[in-house]
Amino acid sequence: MGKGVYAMSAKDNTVLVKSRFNDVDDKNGISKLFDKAGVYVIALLLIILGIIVSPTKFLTPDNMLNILRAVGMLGITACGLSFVIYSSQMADMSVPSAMAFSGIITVQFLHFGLVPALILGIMFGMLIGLVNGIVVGYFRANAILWTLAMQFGMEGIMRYVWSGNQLYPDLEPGTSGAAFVNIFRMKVGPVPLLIIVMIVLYIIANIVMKKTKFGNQLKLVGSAYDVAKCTGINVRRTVLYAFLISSFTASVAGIFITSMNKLGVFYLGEGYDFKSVTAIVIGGMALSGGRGNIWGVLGGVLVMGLLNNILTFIGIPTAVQNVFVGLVFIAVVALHTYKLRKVGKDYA
Amino acid sequence: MHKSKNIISLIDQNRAILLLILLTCFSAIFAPNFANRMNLSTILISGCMLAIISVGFTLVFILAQIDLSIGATAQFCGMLCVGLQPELGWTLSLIIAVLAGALIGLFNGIVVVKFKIHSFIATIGTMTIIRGILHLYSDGGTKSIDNYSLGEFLETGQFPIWFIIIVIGAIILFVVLSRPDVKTIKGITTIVVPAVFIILWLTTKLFSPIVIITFIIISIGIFLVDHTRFGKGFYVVGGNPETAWLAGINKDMYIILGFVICGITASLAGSIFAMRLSSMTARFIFAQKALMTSLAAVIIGGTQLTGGKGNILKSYFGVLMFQVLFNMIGCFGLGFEIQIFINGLILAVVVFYEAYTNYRHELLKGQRPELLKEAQSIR
Repeated sequence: MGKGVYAMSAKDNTVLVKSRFNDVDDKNGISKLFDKAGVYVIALLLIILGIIVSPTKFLTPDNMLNILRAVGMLGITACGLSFVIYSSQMADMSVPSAMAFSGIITVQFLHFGLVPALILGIMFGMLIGLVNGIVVGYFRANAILWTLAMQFGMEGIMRYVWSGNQLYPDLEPGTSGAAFVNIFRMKVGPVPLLIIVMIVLYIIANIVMKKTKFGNQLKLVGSAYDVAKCTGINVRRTVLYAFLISSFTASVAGIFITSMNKLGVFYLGEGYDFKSVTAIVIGGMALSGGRGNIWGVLGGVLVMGLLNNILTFIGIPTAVQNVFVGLVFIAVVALHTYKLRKVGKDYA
Repeated sequence: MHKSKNIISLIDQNRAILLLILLTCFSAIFAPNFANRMNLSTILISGCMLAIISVGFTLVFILAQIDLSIGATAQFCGMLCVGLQPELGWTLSLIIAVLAGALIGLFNGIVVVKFKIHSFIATIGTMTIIRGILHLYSDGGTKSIDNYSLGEFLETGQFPIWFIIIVIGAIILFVVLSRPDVKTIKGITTIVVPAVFIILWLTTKLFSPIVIITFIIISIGIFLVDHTRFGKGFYVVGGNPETAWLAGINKDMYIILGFVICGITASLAGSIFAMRLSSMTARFIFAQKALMTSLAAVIIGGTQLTGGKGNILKSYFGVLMFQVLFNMIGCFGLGFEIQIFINGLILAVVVFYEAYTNYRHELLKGQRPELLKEAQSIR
């Protein structure tokens, strides 16, 4: 309003609009780089910080692998959860229960052999995603509330059925239990299996998100639900698929975390919901949906890993690290919202 | 057809109290050791924390926001209250705990209003931060003190006579000032309910001091929201922000204030809980259960996420319903696990029901059944 006080011709108007968008588009080089590869710049800065903090220990291959292994599970859950956020459903709070559930089911059915148990575990984990997808996608329930309810309900079921006990696989050498525990510890050359699975999942996710019909539909659903509906996209099914993907990756991560801990119990995935959302948001994916890409999410995951690693090097306990993560989360979301508000979109 | 629809909506509006009555009757008949004075008094006492939490929580709901950090706030402030008591005494530590709660609420409110972050997301972040601070403060363990005198007073004590006189005087004054119309049902209830309450309080030991304190906080909340001009503003801001703006209501101030009040009630609830037990745990399940039960109770009470609707009293009935349910589960000899499960189940059912009604509403959008009938009769 303020700028348009004088009588405007159409040409003036175009100039005005152009200048408005120029604010966003035509920036100087550094800022543009920051927009394009923001997370990786932050990651680079963190690596430099790490070298300053601990010159001898930080930049060794061992430590780098440690960082990757520490964020491996987070990376896998964030990969799938980013589909849900991409479809503008804000968050899937039932990720921890899907992780724990798939782990418990796998341990429970290990006597069928390793592969059937793994398949059963992933299928039961995806059951949670199916229910979420039906209720949120088809009946338009509030995603956070519903998935929170699902998380509580599943936790109650797991506590009740296994009476709150921990479930141990049979660790005799040669049995499927031993093979299961070995999954997390398995290495292909020097690289742990976990990291390879993570990177493969990211490559697949990128192809799905950018190159397939489903990915394009998801982008439209995420950025403008009603428009997508009018275009004739089956919006409900698209949201359902997003939740299915999220629960699938959560189940895979659940198998790894169960294998790492050598036991299946209801509290294993605790905290992964919030951590993955943080990683995704740091990675430049907007909570309003339809913006960002999967490589940014990977960058966000790496930033989380680097941050935790450096904080540990400095000697800060885990509880304070959580405070840090929370503060970083709110700051990043606020920054995103501010940037989007400049373009004219209200909530991020 | 029209009349039956009215009855259904009446049932839907009062579902919290109806469910409470149904569950109480069911438990009184079937559950062993349910219907005696001690047990009923226990139910009222165990509902106190959630009841106080849900006062502020309902207010935030009315504003069309949500505060997912209440469980963590209650836990942290309770921990603070217990941790500071040996050095400062109860009064001062309570004041500090409430101030901390107000500060957390202020932080939430500013993040939501000034940074324009959706309250779902912002308060999840706050929850993580508070949990980190809590673990730092308590080393992840339980804090407790040896002095049980206050806890005993809160559960089984008697108020001094001047306090009782003041409270009863305030109730009578309020009833007289509101000038109830004896011909309507509402007018009769305004007279009968306080009278029954006073008689029960003076003659039986059903209400412990902690319950009376809860009632006072709830009454203040109800008075603030339903009977003052300031309180009506909450409904306007939540129901239609643009109207609020046109009416000259400071929307940002209301939202920040709502979060501050929510933080204060949560910290009060946590502190009172800690005072009663003289200890506080740092276990995650405590905060989680407080959050999910109050969430479910508030939604069952008819408060809607879309804002502009809500009733503190109905939220209290929702809380009581859950306490009766938990107590009943306990009476049948079932464990904590089934409580968690049923809690989650009810929350899920309620969220699904709300979503389903909205879904039906969406389907019928643009159709006007009463006109359709008219058109058919013309044809």
